[in-house]
Amino acid sequence: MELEALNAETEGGRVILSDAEVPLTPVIVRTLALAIHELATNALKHGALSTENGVLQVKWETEGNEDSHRLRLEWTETLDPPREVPKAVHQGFGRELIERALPYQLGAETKYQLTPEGVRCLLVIPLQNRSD
Amino acid sequence: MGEKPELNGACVLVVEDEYLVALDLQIEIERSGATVLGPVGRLAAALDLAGRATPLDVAVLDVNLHGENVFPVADVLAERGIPFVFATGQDQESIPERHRVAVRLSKPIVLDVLLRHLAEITQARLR
Repeated sequence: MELEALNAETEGGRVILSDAEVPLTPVIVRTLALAIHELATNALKHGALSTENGVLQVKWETEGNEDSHRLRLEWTETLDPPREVPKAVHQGFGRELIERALPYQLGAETKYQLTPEGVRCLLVIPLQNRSD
Repeated sequence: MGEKPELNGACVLVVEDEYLVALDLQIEIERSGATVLGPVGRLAAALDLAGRATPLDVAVLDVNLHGENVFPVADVLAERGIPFVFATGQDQESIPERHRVAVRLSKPIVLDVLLRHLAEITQARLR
């Protein structure tokens, strides 16, 4: 698990993860792993896991039907206490990866928000080869 | 190495499904003085641009786009008389005979070589 690799304290209920098993193609794994790595690093350095009481929840599930099967992953950080969003946030590689590389490479729909409660990120990734 | 090839405002369509490769191509081609259309990584988007983009002087076509062949895009370009180069990890045999006159560059692409080909092609068109 990425967070353990980064030496995060995953005990104490501060990291809440889904347990759904979703088979992924190598291409998805490669790009998604980079995105998760960036999100996790950011959470540890600046986000919910950089503070005493912050909580990180990562929820994922599959959605859709036979024709369009997608992975929906929600990354929700909760800072306690909330803090003001810095005005001039550096647009880092992680954000570019999520907002540009994932849509380009995987046809994903992504949303990345920095709120006073922390990072909110939604990734919706098609699981089948798109033939459009 | 020699001088950097000049692309003098040519419009170059870039079709490439790997984000970082596409970004790299875009940056280098723009640095050579060209305008990049795209980059696009999906066949449908590539077909759309190839069919209607004007002006369009030359295209760089990654052969395999998420498992789909780029050749329909080459067909559209050929019909419009717009030259293109292929970028592929596969050999010449993988290119349909009708498109074997096109330059085929092996991946990973050597940018200088690509830029030189693009400069030659665009300059020949201007003449």
